[in-house]
Amino acid sequence: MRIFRIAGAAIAVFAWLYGFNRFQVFYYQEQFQLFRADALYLRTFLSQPGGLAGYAGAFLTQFFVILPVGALIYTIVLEVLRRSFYKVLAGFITGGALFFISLVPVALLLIPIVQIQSNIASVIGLLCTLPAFLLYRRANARWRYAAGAGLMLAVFFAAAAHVWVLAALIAIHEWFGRRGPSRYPGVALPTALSLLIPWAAQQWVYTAPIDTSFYACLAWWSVPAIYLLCCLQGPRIAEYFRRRPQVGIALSILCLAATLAHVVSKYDRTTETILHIDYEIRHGRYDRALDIKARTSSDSRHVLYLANIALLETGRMPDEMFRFRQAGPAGLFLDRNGSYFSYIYLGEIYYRLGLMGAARHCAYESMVAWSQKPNAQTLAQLARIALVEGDFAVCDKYLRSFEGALFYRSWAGEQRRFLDERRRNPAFIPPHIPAPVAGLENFFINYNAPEAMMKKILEADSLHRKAFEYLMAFYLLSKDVESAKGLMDRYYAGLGYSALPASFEEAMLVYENAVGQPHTYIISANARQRFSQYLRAAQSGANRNWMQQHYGDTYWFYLHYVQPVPLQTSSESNRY
Amino acid sequence: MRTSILSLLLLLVILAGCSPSGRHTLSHRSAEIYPGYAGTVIPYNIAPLNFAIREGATKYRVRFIAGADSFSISCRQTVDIPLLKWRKLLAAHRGERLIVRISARRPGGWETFSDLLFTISPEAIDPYLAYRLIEPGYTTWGKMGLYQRNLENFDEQPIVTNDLVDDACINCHSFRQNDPSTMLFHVRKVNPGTVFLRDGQLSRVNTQTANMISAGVYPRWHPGGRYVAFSTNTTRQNFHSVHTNKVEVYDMASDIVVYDTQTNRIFSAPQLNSPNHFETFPEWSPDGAYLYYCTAPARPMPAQYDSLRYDLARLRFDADAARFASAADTLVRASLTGQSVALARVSPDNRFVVFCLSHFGTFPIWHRENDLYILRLSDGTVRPMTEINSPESDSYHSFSSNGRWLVFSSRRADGAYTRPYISYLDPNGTPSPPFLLPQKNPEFYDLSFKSFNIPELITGPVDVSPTRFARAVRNPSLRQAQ
Repeated sequence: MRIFRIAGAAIAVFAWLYGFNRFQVFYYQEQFQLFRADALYLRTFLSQPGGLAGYAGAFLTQFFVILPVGALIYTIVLEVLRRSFYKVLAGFITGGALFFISLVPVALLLIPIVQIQSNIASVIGLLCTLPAFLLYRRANARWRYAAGAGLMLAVFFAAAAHVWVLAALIAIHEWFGRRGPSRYPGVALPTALSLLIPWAAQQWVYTAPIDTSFYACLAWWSVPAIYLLCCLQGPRIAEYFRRRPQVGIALSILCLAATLAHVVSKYDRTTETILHIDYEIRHGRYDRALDIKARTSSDSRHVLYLANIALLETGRMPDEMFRFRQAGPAGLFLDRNGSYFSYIYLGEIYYRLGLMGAARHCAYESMVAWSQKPNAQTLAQLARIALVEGDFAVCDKYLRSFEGALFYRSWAGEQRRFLDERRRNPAFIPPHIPAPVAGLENFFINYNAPEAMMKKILEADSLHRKAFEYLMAFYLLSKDVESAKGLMDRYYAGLGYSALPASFEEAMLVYENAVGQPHTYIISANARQRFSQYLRAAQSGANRNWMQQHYGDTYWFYLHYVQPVPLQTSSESNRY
Repeated sequence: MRTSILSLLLLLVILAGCSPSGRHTLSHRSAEIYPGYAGTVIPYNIAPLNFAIREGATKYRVRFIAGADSFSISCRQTVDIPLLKWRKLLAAHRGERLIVRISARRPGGWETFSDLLFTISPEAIDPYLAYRLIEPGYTTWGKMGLYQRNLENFDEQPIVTNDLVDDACINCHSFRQNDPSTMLFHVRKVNPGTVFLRDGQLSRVNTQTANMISAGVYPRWHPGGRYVAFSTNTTRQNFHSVHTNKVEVYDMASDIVVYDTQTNRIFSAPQLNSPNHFETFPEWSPDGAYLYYCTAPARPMPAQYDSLRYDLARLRFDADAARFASAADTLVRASLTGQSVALARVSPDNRFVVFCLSHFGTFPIWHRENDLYILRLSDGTVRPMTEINSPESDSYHSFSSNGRWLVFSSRRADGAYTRPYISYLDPNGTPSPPFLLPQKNPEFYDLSFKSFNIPELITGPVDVSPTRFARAVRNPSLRQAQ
C-alpha cells in the first residue's frame, strides 16, 4: 500500500512538473546556467554562504538538458526530502497520516519550484538540514551542544539560511525533550548561533550580503511548524489518527488539494508558451513553434514576436502572417528595457537577419543583465556570432567554457572544427548560423529605428529576402502601404518570387484602391474577387466579428480593424 | 660496510627514479607556455608565475634556476610553483637571471626544451594592485566590485562590491599617489555620490553643483591630498554595426573642475571649462605644480565623433592659492597628426608622461588601434612604447610608487576582455616586455568573464572593510559640494 502511495505521489509530481512546467522549469533553468567541472567554477559558488547547495543544484540542473530527466531528478529529490521529513516525524506519528503529513513540505515546495527563477538548490538546502537534525538527535547527550554548533556551522556554509530551520528544529527538540531549567540552554544556544554564524561569516568570511543566498520560501517553515505541532500534541495526534485514520487522510488530502489549487492558480501559462516556442525555434523546429502559436490564446507580444521569427524562417511570412493575430510593429521588434529577456529576444531577429553587431550587442547585454553566472544560452550565441564575425580569439574563449561542460562538449567540439575551418577559409559559414550581411556600411545601432537598420541591410544586399520580407511586414503592420509599395518597387523584382505573396497582393490592392495609382504587380483574380467582396461587406456595415471570421486572415482586416501597438522608444542617458 | 653499500645503491636507485629516465633529447625550441611570460623582467617580490605547458605531454619536470640555487617540480600541464621556494629564490638573486628549464615526458624518453629566461629586477613592485572587476562595459551591468590583489601571493580581497550597495554601479576608483589610505570611488544610479576615504574617515559627497554638466567623473588626487581634479562629462555610448571597434563612447560635452576636500568647494579655470573645447582626463604632476589634461575643439556630436581629436596640455597650479595660471602649454599636438590623446599619467620622478594615442575620440579602451606612448618632459620627445604595445587596445596605465613598474590594461589576449599587464621601466623610460598578472590557476583568464578595469598599484591594502564602505554608501547623509 505504502509503495503505491509513494509511487502515486511521485507520478503526480512528475506529471505536474513535466506536463505543465517543462519549459519554465527545466529548459529555462538549464539554459540559464553553464555547469563546469573545474575548481574556478566551484570557487564562484563557495564565495557565498550556501555555496555547496548552489553547486550541487547547478550540478543537477545540467541534466535538465534532457527535459524528462529534469522532471525525474526533481521528483527524486522531493521524494528524498519527504523521506527525510518522514524520519524526523516517525517518533511522533505513525501510520498513513505520517505519509501524508510528510508530504506537506513537498506540496508547499511545488509552489516556488515552478516559478521561473526558482532553483533546485533551495530544495537541496532543505535536504541538507533534515539529515543534520537527525544526526543531532542521535548525538550523545553530553556532546549534543558541540554537535549542534558544528552541524549548524556546516549547514550554514552548505545551505546558508537553512541554518534557521535547523536552529528551530533543535530548539523545539530541546524544549520538549528536556525538563526543568536544563532546557533553556538548548533553546538559547541554537537561537544565538543562528544569528551569530551569519553575522560573523559576513564580517570575516564572505562579502556577499546576507540575503543573497537565502533561498527564502514558505515551505521551509512548514518543517519546524509541523515538528512543533507533533512535539506538542504528538501522542494525541497519533492516537486520534490511529482511531480515525480517515480523518488524518482527509485532512492531508484537503491540505494537498489546497496546495494543488494554489499551484494551478499560479501556473504561468504564457511564460510556459513563450519558452516552449523559444525552445522549438532554437532547435530549428519552426513549424512546431507555429503550431504552438496557433493553439495558444495568449496575446503575449513575445509569443507573437517569436512566431513571426518562425514565419520568417519558414519563408511563410508574406503569405501567412495575417493568419496569426498581428498586433503591429511591436510584434516584429521588441523594446529595450534593460532586462535579460528584452535583450536576448530583441537580438534574435537581428541575429537571424545577419546584423551581427546588433545580435552580439544584445547577446552580450543579456549575459551581463543576467545577474547569475554566464549562461549557456548567451554564451553559445556569443560564440556563434564571434565565429562568423571572425573574432576567433573570443570564440575560442567562449568555447573553452563549453568544453568543461558535460552536455556541451560535443557541441563545442563541433564549433571548434568550424572555427578551424573558418580560420582556413574566410568564406566558410558554418551550417545553421546566419551569414553576416556582406558589404554593410557601418552605422550606430539604433533599436528605436529598426526600419533604418533594415534599410541599411537591403542597401548592402538587395537580394536579402528575409530582410525584405521583414521590412515589408514592418510597413504593412505600420499601415504604411506607400512605403511598402516603394520597397517592392525597389527590391521585389530581383528576389525571384514565383507569384506575389498573399499579404503583398492584398497590400497592392489597398494601394490601388486608396491611392488610385496603377502598379505593375500581377494580382490574381481570386484576390481581386475576395477584395471586392471584402469591400462590399465592409460598406454594408458587417460587424467586426463577422469580418474577422471571414477576413481575419487578410491584411485588409488588419488595416481596418486592428489598432497597431507601436514600438516604445528608449531614451539615452549619461553613461556616468 | 655492506649495509652502507646497500644504502648507497638504494639511494642511487631512488635518485634515478627522480630524474628523467630513458632517452633524453634536447629541443632547440622553447616550450609553449601559457601565459607567455618568457623574456620578461619581473620584480623579486612578485607572486609565482604559474603557467600551463601546452606541449601535449602527460608529464613535465620544470626546474627553476637562479645563480647556484634551484628547485624543480613535476607536474602535468599546470605548473603550480611553491610560493616559499619561489620567493626565496627570487629574493636571493635580485638583479640576476632566472632560468626555467622544462622537460616533457615523451613516449620513449624525455625532451628538454630550450631554457626560458627571465630577469629578476632588484626593484620591488608595490605589493597591491587595485582594480574593478566588471564585464566589459556595455549599457547594463551585473555584479561588479573593486578588488585588491596582493601581488606577492594570490590573495584577492574585495574593497567593495556592488551587491553590498543595492547593485549600484561602482567606478573610477582613484588613490593619492599609490596611497591606499587616501582614495575615492563613485557610486552611480543607486545612492549616487562619491565616496572619499581620508585619514580613516569615510564621507560621501555629491560633487555636482548647479553650473556643472555632471558630477565628477574621471578623478585624480592632487599629491598634497587636499584637492581632487575631476572631469565632468556628458557621455554617450553607441554600438557599431560593423566596425573593428565594437563600441564607441564619446562626450557630448566635458570640462574639468577641482574639488577642495577641506572647504567642500568646487572651482575651475577658463581653460578647463571652455564652451568651445572639451577638456577631460585630468592628471597632476607629482609635485602638484601642474594639471595635465586632454583638450579638443568642441564638435557636433555624435555626427563628427570620428573627427574629435584631443591634444595633451598642462596648466600651472598654485596649490596654496588654489589658483590656475592663465595660459596652458600644449605638450602633444596629436590632432595635427590625426591622432587623439587620452589618459596621461606622469611618472613619479616627473620625467615622463605615458599616455594613450588612438585615431580619434576619448575612450581608448574600445579602440583596437590604441597604443601607449611616452613623452620625455625634458626634451618633449614622444615615442610609441613598442616594447609593450599590441595590435589590440593597450590602455589604462598606472605607475608604481617607485616609478619602475607600469601596469596597464590590454585586450591583447582576445580583443574583448582587458587584463592587467606589468612592465619594467628603466630609468630612461624604456619598458621591458610586459607579463600578465599571474594567477594561481593559469587557466583563470580563459574562464573569467570579467575585465580588469583601472588597475592601480598601491603601497598596501585598503584597510577599510567592504561592509564599512557599504555603510558609507548607504548612509543617507550626502555632503553637497559648493
